[in-house]
Amino acid sequence: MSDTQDGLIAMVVKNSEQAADLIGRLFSVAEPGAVFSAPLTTGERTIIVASELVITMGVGFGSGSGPADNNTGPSTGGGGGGGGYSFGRPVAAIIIEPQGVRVEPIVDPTKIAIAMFTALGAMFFAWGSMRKLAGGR
Amino acid sequence: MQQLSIEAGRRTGSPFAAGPYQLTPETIVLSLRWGNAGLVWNWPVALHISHAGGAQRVAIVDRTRLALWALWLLTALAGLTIVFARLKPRRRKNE
Repeated sequence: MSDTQDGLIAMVVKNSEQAADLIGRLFSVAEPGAVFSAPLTTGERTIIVASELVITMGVGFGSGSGPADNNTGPSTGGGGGGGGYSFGRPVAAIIIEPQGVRVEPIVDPTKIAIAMFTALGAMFFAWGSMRKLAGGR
Repeated sequence: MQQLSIEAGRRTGSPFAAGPYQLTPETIVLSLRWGNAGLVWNWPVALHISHAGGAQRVAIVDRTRLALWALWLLTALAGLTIVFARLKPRRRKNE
């Protein structure tokens, strides 16, 4: 095997190890402490925000070798790519006061409005279909 | 062949102090790992509060998620109604 191929394989192995390490670090988000913010104190009141978190990630590498077109020796090549998505949404604020602890829900009206319009559209078409059916056509 | 590992369940975190209270977070975690790809979904469900007077568990209700599930259910029911309404005349014709 040529030095070029050895180097390429070593590089791919190193990159794969780094990718595995990166994916391993992704799982630190699975710790319960990750969804609760650091306590923020103002006067006698302390506020902690609890959020929903979604993180997804993927990486891949590949390499290959074959004879060169002009028979000058083996030809090698390799490449890699990756992608990911992360999302966080506050769910509730935990308010700690001298009187006690209370949880205030945080509602996302935009998300609800979008889902509501989809549901209304579907219900409108369902109503139309039922009217057609009742008419016997 | 890359191995798929799936983990789901409730997890309790390390307690932390906030004023006179000792707070312990509780979450539900769904994690998937398939080779060099992974997904983690973590959402809070409760907070355990302990203080000099005793201890209590405060549930964290995700109202946005509840509303979304209700609306998605309505959309699915409407979709099913449309499908059945379109299938019924065809059946009548075949009979």
